[in-house]
This record gives sequence, C-alpha cells and structure tokens, in this order.
Amino acid sequence: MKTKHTITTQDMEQLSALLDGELSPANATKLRQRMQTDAALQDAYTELALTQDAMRTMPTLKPPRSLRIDPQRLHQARGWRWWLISPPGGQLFPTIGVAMSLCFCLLFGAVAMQPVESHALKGAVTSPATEAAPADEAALSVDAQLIAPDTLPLAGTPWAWLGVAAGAGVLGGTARWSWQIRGRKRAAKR
Amino acid sequence: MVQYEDQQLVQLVLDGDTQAFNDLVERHQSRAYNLCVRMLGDADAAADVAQDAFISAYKHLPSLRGEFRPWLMRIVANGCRDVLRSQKRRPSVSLDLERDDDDTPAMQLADTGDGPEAALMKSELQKTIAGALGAIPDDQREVIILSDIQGLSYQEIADMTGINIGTVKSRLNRARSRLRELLVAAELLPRVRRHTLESNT
Repeated sequence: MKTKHTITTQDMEQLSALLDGELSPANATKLRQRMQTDAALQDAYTELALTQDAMRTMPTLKPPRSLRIDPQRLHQARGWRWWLISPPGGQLFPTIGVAMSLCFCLLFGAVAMQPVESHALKGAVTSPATEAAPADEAALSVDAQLIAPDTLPLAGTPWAWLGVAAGAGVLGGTARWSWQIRGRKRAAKR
Repeated sequence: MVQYEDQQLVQLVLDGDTQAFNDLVERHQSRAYNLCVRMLGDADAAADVAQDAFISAYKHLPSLRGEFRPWLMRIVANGCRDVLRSQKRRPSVSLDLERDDDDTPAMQLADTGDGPEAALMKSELQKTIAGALGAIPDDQREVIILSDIQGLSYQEIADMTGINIGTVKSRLNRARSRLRELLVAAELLPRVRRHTLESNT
C-alpha cells in the first residue's frame, strides 16, 4: 500500500534530476523504489514530468525579421586591421602579416642602433656653439664629449628599445595568429 | 547546394567571406531568438539582442575555441543578462508573450492538428507557462529555458552560464517547482494529466 510522506527540497531536486536522466544509476534505483511506496513522491514526479512536457511543447517562435547582417555593418564591426590584409583566396595572408611585422621590427631596430653622430644631437651640440659666447664654448664641448662620443649608439635610450620591443611583440603576435589560422585550416580540411 | 559544417563556415568567415557568416546566422537565428524571447519576453528587444549577439560573435570570431553553437549561445545568454540587468534599473516589461491581445505574426502558434478542446487547452497552458516564466527569477528562468526548451544537458548549461552543476540542479528544481505550483494553482495540471491518461488509453 502507498503512503504519503512530506517531500523535501532534496527529494524534489532528485526527482528533477531523474526526469532529466542526470541521476546516478544507484540513486535512480533507490528513488524509484521509494516512489513505489510513496504516493506523494509519485504525484510530484508525475506533475514535474507534465510541467517539463508542457515546456517542451512550447512553440518555436519565428523572429519578427531576418537577423541577417548587412556585410557593410560586419566590416564596420570588426574594424580595419592591417595584419588581416589578404588577397582573394587568402593564401598569402599569414605571409603578408608576418612580413609587415618583420619590417616594422627591423625599422625600429635600425633606428635604435643608429649612431648618435648621424642624428640631430650632433647639430644640437654644434649649432648653438657658434652663437655662444667664447666662455661657454669650452663648457659645451666638454658636455658634448661627455654625452655624445662618436661611437655611442642610441642603444641605451629607453624609447628606442621600447620601439624594438613593440616591433617584436607585434611580430610575435602576428606569427602566433598566423599559426593558429594555419591550424584551423588544417583542422577544417580534416 | 553544398551544406557546410559550422566549422567550415567559420573558416570561410575568417578568410573574409561575409556571406558565410550570414549562412551561420540563418542556421542559428531561430535558436538564438527563442532563447532571447523567452528570457526577455519582448519580440523586438529579443530580435535586437540576438542580432547584436551575432555581430559580437563576428567581431570575436578569431578568438573562437571549440564549437561555434555553444559559444554563440553563451554570447546570446550574456546579452540577455545584460538587458535584464539594465531593465532592473528601469521599470520592467511584461514577460507574458502569448497574451490574448497579441496578434503579431511572430506570436501566432502553429496548428498542431489536435482537436479544438486539446488545442484550446494547449494554448491556455502555453500562455500560463509564458506568464509563469516571467514570474520566476532571471537566473532560474535562464536555466529552465536552456534545459527544457533548448534541450541542453546540465554540463552544457554549466559551461554556458559559468555555474557549477550543483547550482544548475538546484536552480532547475526551484524553477520547475515554481512552474508546477503555478500550473496546479491554475488547475491546468490535473486537466493535462487527465488528457494524457485519456490519450494513452
């Protein structure tokens, strides 16, 4: 004979999981055995099943309009990224991206390694000297010797090395990106 | 016509083919829209959120890892949550989608071929459920929609919402219990049960 017991929150949780087939086999067997002797548990299960069934029969609603997106809007959404430049077919895209990054890196590297002599520093030291009083001339030439001997490159300048680091970062990022795309292409072919 | 898998379409989009992205939109728009419309209860807002989610997906497509559909649905669910959060700061809107005075084509229910009594009961049941969904908390509604309407497993829901399986279980149970109470109060469940028993015999 079936009896009616009070159903706890835990019971309800288990019934719900049983309904979804998400209860372990051992727990499912135990709960089914209890349901055979407990009318309240059986009723709750039936009502939950009917509720779930009612939810599942909810109609699929059609969007009031097509959600297709205008290609122009898509282009705007992504924005322009120079490393995404690719010819039709996209075969050269990783190569172009890496090549441009490499150029960027080399350019900064070249600037960073440029000797001071060829830069404005030399001019900055010599041109005011022509207008300066003779007393200042000696002081200026001493300063010039201290800060800018001919062999000293800009290598130690933080800005120049920051440029090299940025170039290397972009190069690394683009190479990684390209590598990922190649991987995806290979996966898609498989 | 060649039918591409999602992954192949994603690759085409990454190679610059925007038409391929609209093929993805066509394929997933119904699911995305239905999640939004059940979460938000407003057809136009749901369409806007779903479309914004597609645009966001396009924007972030290069960062996609794994399958497209769950990833997209996660974006859609996040979009719905954002809208609900902003709605909380302003006066709320009704979530009763299938109300009597609603005659927009999107809300019309499909003819199921049941008899007039069964069809009427089904329609009444669906109206009550749509209304009841609006009466349960957002986090519970999200879980029950993902489980019972979208048909996702507990693990998939946990992955999508970023909560653990235990929380999925308890939220789902609370949502179902609440719906069950509302259907019992509206005296719909006993009629559904009787109808089910009659059709089984």
